[in-house]
Amino acid sequence: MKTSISEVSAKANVREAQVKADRPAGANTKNLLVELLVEELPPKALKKLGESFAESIKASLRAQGLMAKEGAVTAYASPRRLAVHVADVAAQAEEKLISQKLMPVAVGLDANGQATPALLKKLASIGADTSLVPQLKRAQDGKVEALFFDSVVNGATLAEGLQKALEDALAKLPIPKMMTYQLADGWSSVQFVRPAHGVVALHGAEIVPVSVLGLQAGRATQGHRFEAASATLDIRDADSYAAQLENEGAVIPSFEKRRDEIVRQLAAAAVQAGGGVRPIVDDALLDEVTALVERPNVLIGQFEKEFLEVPQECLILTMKANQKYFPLLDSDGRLTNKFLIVSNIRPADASLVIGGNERVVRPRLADAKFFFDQDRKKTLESRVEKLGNVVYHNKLGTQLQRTERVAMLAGTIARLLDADKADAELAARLAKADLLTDMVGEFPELQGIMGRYYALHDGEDKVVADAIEAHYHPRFAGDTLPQGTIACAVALADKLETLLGIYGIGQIPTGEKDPFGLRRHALGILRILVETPLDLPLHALIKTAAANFPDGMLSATVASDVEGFMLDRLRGYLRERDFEVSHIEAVLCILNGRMHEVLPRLQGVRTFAALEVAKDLAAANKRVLNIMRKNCEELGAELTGAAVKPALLKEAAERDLHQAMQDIAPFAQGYLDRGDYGQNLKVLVTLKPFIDDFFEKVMVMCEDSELRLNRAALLQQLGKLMNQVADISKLAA
Amino acid sequence: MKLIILDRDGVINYDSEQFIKKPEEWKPIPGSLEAIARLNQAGYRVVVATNQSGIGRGLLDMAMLNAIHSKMHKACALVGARIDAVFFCPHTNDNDCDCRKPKSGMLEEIAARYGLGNLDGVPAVGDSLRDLQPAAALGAQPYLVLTGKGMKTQEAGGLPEGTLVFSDLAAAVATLV
Repeated sequence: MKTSISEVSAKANVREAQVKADRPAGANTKNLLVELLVEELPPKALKKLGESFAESIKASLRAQGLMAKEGAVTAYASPRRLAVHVADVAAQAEEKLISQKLMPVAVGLDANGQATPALLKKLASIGADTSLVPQLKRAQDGKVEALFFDSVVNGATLAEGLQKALEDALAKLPIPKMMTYQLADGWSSVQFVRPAHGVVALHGAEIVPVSVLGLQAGRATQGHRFEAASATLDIRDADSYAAQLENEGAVIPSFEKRRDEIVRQLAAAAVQAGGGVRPIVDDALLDEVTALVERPNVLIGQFEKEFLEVPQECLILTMKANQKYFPLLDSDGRLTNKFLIVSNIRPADASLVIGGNERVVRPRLADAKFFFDQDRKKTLESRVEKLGNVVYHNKLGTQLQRTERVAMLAGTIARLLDADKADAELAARLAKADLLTDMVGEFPELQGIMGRYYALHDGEDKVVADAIEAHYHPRFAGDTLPQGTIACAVALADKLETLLGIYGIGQIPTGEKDPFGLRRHALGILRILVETPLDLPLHALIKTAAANFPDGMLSATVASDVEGFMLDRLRGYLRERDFEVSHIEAVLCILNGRMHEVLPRLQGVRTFAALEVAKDLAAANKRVLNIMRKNCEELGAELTGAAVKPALLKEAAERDLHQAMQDIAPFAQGYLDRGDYGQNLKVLVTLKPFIDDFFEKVMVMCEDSELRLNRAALLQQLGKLMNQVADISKLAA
Repeated sequence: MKLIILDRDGVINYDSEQFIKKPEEWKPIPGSLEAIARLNQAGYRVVVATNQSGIGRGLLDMAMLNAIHSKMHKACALVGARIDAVFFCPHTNDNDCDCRKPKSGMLEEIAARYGLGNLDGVPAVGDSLRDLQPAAALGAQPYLVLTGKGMKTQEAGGLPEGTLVFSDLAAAVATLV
């Protein structure tokens, strides 16, 4: 008996099995092409929309047994189309064996094995009658035996399957905002990201009869809005799609290929511009322009040289962010007055496009120049008081109050680092003044960068000016660190103030939510301390930062809370650098806030852990610690700091261990002082046989209390010696 | 999403008492296309709402209107500008339709198409009173430009409260982005 798959699978208690597993696509497979033609899609979302569309269609076809497991999938995405080419798609999925549970045997059959009325009713509901009873199978279903009806159903046809796949794909598209538009019938309205104008669905050369968004699939699409040879384009078959669009439609449908073409044209145009210039590399900008054009045409534009007086960061930002142009840099990395335009249009007279774009960019550059000239009429110093009018946070006061706290802390840190306290305080004081300039008001991304330019213009010291810019660093993962002690002092102070303040008023990051970027600030502090490296104990820094806030402004436990928060960030940061969790824990145990030592210690532990004997020594160490913990409970204060009395060392094994310890201690200390942590640990390995011997032959908890205390003291000294770099016991399996 | 509604004749292109009946008669006002590019770059979707009673009067047909708009879209593309959609009313006064400005049908339709509950604060730029009235009635921000019939409109007075006046589209856009 054959039923359509959609009927059967809709019912409960159906088990499906591919009749011939792993052979979904039979010999008569063809390639499939689906295209949705739409109006210009939102450029920032295009790449994701294209990937999602292709991925959903593939997943759905595969789930329905219409395509081979390894079938090749090619995604296309341009401003006006989402499309996908899928290789080896079957016209119909394989038959499926369906095993449908009807009811428990006890209910379906009476004592004589005859069908009960309940079973007959059930059979009628699936279009069968009593003649089917002998074919029913009995099988265990949980604890009861049940009646099953096995049947073979036809697989979905491609038209059915693609219909479903398309509907799935459209429903799953990550659409930023829906639009409502009217269909050609003039009555019905449809909701989609942008109005859709056509669907192409071809299996080989045949149209697959599907319909979505009120559109019936066909083979007609449109090429480039302005450049196509004819208004519509009939796609011959699935495989000719990309080539036809390129040759006849003047469209490069593949996102990647179009992007590559832009890169190629940018490079060629740079050569044409001459003088060894090169375009700025910016992947995000490349993606964006790729989403804005169907066929790129890169042209060279230029602006008046006088604008180059404006800091190049401003001009570059204006051109990139506002105009989507690629600024050209000379071989020294200095901005030139030429830039590259990625146009979607290719008129015979390119000067129309170039002139038009130059007219668009000129007023923006003039704005930037105006801001720069205006801003320089007032010094940064004269703006600082105005920060008193800017609320930083209603619980933390004004920007001026915050600036004062940062300056105080920066001064303290600078003094600890043997740097000029006054320089650090001045840099911190001026660091936020550029927020009140017109340029930073217009381009917030230039904060700090403008501060540096304006400080230099005001005649401030270069060290101070550099620190003003650098105090925002690192701004993101992988960003450069502030260079020089003054810059580090201000950067640390600024980040610590933010972290303590915001954390202290209860704005603690949770899950995805971290509106003040506290994780980033914490990581910034750690990176500066660890990677610079700077010998500043973390808990002291945190305490000092907390003490700068007025009494009662922050929660009472803020210092220890923030330290815990930072240590968690530190663990994550170290794991990202491929250190093992046990190594990290071993080092953090005894690190005591000395962030500048964390990397060399971890490297030492890593070298040590690679040694054959490391595990044994760790195990021995764990044993020492366990005994000591026990002894501490029993001996209490008596043990604390007790020195080993050599005269009381009765057994040879304990004398030998003591001697061995005495022998290596100066070397271990020497390596430690030099920061050679791997060598320190390696020397300890020589103790291993003595420790083993000691545990084998010596009874620590003996009757004689004097001996007992002395042996405990020996172990305590051993523990201390072994755990200078890290808590080695943490490495034990 | 940022949206802006522009009238066409007298705002984007020079107006004509004799109607714009073919592509050759459509000539952009200097700076207007660049202003649209600037709006696009600032993230605005630019929508045109225009009365085209020339169709109702039989002065031009749909194919011709499409040809005119093709020219407009292409001219925009040259400076990297893009008009997202053109809404037009083909009726004459005698049709008593809901869409012909100063009626608000066309603007309501725009709000619905873009999934906006209302047009609160959406800039609507025009050169005549009938462009500004429906905008003001729907809570949009009316902008009068002095190109096209703008001068006469300003002299006649009676502008909706809060109307902002600028010399042309470029000047209006400069304050928006």
